[in-house]
Amino acid sequence: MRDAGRPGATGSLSGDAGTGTRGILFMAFEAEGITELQLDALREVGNIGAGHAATALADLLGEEIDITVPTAGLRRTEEIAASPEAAEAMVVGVLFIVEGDAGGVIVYVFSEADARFLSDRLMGLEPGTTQQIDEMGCSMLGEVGNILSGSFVTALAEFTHLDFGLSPPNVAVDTLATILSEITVTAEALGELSLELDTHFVQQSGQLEGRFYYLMDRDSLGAILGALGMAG
Amino acid sequence: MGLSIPVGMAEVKASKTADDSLSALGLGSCIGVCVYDPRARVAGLAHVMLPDSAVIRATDRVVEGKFADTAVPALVQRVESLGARRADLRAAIAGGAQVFSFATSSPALAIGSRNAEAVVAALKTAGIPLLAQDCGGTVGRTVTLDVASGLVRVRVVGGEPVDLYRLG
Repeated sequence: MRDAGRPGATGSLSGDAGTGTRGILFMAFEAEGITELQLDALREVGNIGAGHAATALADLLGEEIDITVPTAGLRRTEEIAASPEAAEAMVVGVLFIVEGDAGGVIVYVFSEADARFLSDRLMGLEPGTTQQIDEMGCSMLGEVGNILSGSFVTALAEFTHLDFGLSPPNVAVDTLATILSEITVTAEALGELSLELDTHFVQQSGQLEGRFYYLMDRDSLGAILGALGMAG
Repeated sequence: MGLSIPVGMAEVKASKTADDSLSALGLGSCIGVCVYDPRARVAGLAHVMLPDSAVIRATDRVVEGKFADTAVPALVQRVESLGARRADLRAAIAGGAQVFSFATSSPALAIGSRNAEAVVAALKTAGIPLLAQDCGGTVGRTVTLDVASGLVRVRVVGGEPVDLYRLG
């Protein structure tokens, strides 16, 4: 990426995310034993995958989507947590297990307002019609996640020439604290967490603020670096 | 009002300050393990993430509070260092829900129920009676342990705190 910046920096990736979308990438790698060159490669992977997912979301809604990646890096599990103010907010989580050469977990977290907005929008209802996220709404958000995840892993597969598979969407409605905790526990149960990408989608009118997480374990990180010719 | 001490994922904390309470927020498949010595009035809370430390590799950094089998001994040690006696300890646990209903029924992903089983086993190994539990289901919980009284309260999404058990 032209402008991705150094770890901890903010940069724009205008154009790379597709026509009509732009994104900002922020990386804060904290792990030892990862070289600057490897960081660049991982940044590239994150940029491309998130950019494609944002494009898919823009196509779905028929309007421009900004993506930001406020944090993305190698973090200890215990450090991922909601701020106390945000912890109690109700959210909808859509979780995918990534299988194949480089496994991991992909999760979208939509606020209740996001979920209502998407439901109105995609079902052709007047804005403000959807009041509650019922089973139908959950199923629809699962499909939104499916489209985004599909474009994310397709981009990753093209870039790395690795094989990826996606589980069906798993949808849960709970507090942000609980959903974030479940993301981490699921990733840890599948393998020691290593890389975490945390992206923010912001729609132009400001009505949509979904978050996107991609967590992968150490072996998967190694597989991706290996595929890029960047193995340690 | 004393302090409400947050106990984050994989953390183990203890207190004997009467005004304090210990609190684990957003327990999904994680388990909040409360132990209490009613004579010494020492309280401890562990926020357990996974059942078994056998999965970690030799090179990994050991986080005792993460696994049921290592968190319970660490919790006992922590309250003992504040003057609790092992023989006087009693426990209550909450959490272990299945928040995401995975379409693929891999046993590896039934984390909530495996966590509950592992915590119950670890408490048994440590010889600490388990007096109350609120585990399972599909919603997240917040667990609070009051240091002065040993009262364990559980709150679910959108609900009011409910008394689970008074360990004191």
